[in-house]
Amino acid sequence: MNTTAISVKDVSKAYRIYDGPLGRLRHLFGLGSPGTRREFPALRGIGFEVAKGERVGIIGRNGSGKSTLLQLICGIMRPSAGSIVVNGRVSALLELGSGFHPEFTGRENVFLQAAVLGLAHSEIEERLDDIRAFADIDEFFDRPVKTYSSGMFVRLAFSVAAQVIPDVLVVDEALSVGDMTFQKKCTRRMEELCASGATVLLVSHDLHLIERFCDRALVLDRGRCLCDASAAEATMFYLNLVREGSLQAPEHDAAAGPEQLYATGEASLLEVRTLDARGQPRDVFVTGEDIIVAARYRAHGPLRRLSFGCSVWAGVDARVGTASLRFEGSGPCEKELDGEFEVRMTLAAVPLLPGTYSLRGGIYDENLLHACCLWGWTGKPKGVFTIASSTVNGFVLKESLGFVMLPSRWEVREGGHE
Amino acid sequence: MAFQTLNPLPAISGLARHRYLIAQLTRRDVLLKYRGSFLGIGWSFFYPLLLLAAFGLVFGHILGTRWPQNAESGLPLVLVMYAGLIVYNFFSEVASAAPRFILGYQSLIKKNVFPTEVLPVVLTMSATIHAAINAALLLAAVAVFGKLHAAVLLVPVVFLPAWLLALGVAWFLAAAGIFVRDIIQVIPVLMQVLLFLSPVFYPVSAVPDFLRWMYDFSPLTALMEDFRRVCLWGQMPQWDRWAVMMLVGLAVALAGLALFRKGQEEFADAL
Repeated sequence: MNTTAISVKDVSKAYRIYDGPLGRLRHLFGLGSPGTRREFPALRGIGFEVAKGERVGIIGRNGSGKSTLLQLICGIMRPSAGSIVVNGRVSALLELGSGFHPEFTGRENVFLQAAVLGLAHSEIEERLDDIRAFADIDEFFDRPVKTYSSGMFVRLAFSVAAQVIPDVLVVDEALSVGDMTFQKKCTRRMEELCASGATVLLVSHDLHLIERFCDRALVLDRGRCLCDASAAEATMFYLNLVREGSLQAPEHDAAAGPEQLYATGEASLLEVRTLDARGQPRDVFVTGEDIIVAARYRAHGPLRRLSFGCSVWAGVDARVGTASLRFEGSGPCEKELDGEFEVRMTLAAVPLLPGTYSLRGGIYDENLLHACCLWGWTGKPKGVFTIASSTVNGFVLKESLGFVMLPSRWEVREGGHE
Repeated sequence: MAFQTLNPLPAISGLARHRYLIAQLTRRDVLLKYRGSFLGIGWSFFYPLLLLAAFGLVFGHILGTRWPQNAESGLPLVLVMYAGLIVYNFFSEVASAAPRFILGYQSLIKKNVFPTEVLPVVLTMSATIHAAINAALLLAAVAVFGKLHAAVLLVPVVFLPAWLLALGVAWFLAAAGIFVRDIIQVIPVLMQVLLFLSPVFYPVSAVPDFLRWMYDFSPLTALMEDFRRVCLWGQMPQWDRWAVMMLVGLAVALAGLALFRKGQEEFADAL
């Protein structure tokens, strides 16, 4: 039995840029003179093999050739040199819902997209209820896709794609859209596919995801494969390249947005509490008071040069504000931490208006590329506190005023404008 | 390698395997044309009716066109023209849409493992459905104004060479349109010319002798004639010409497919 799922041998791909539209035609029929075209090398001499059931990640900055490599493996393009052999049925999640047409209903689009993915009519009918339940869009299922929010669109598209059981699954950043719950669903589905023996090739900027999900990873840069090692080694290699400045890191949100779901788990949160200025636990405050956020963690090994972040949320989707050690201009925490430790953050004279708020936060490495621990992003809200109604100079503060009291100066000038 | 590209058998069996996909895409293409419009698919015959009313007036009453073959059937002249127009429209719809057809499916092609060669088939199928609706309307009119003959059963047979020809042209133009976008502009003009050079609004017998060779070579002439013979006049097709057309159709279809497959290697790059 053949145990190789993908075999890539010395593959190069050059995009030819022709001077005119006829140039391409001439070349196609072998009539081109070499002077009429220029070549842009996207991949140079890439070679690797993927065994059946292996999960391989591909990392690299934009333009490093990742997407080209995936397109070649899917057979969408042909390599300029070298050979690619893929054993088994390939399913590509390069862009979710790429076959959807806005004028058609969700149901109609499901049938078409499923046909594109290679499912038979009976298979789709059979799974229609699953698809509908997975997408979780209720009555929108029978409305034109143009009326969908982007979240519904992506959910429906993924729920179709998830019905296909491929031998080789190729995923290109497709899962970086959508909310957290959806991303978790996606990862779970990929794990199920792996468990059933599928080979997965995953391109992502999310190093946590690569490290957690993949057995092995390749680092691409300018069309070359610089590293082919275990996922942990490859992500370290990439991080080192980034630190040395020879690569540009993908942009990261300072205090980790919901896209950064994957913490390494080097530390875990024990408890997070809110304290008043005297250090007493309290969860009701008034506008203008100091609030101390005390988070206790346990490190599962010595941790050095850490950075911290915390954000205040109203409900599940309104991010009121973010605090970060990096904002304060100080470097990373120089203490070496092991075992239990507590991080206290003081929010001075908090200008929050009445309402109920929750906290999310985490511990990061000094470059904010890596999260050791994230809390509050999923599940039950953490660090819930209330700002009670109060009066400021005789004015009653209410919830309807918003989240933050904006500091302001007022002046009135008499006469016309100057 | 060259032989692999030219051997049509794997490609043809691949098309058979993708028949469900072809059906889905065809359905979408047909529905899309009219989605959101009030008359919906009604436009599919409303449009030729309007055109025929205008042309019937001009050719029948102003120019006084005569159609000797139609004399004994007693059918209105407009139906004779309609029969020709159905064949022409089928062909013109395929040829005009083919050069930009693939561009409309870019996202499918670049982001999916997608068999591009089915797209020209989809286009041809969708035009076939329009032609079938029109043919049904024509036959209904024939039944009302005259008599429906058993020869009508031969309509699919008569149409087969036209279908193969259109498919071959679709494959060729779809590929060519990607590389040379000018074709998108040129084809509609050529189609307009073809309309007036085909015996749609006048019989071949009205063509002066020194131009007759053109009509003998034009594939559409034989098709229109045979289509009228079976639909309107209850006559057998001209089998000798049909056989030649069948060979031409097959040759064009296979050549179109081979050229398409040759160009396919570059599609993703060229889009």
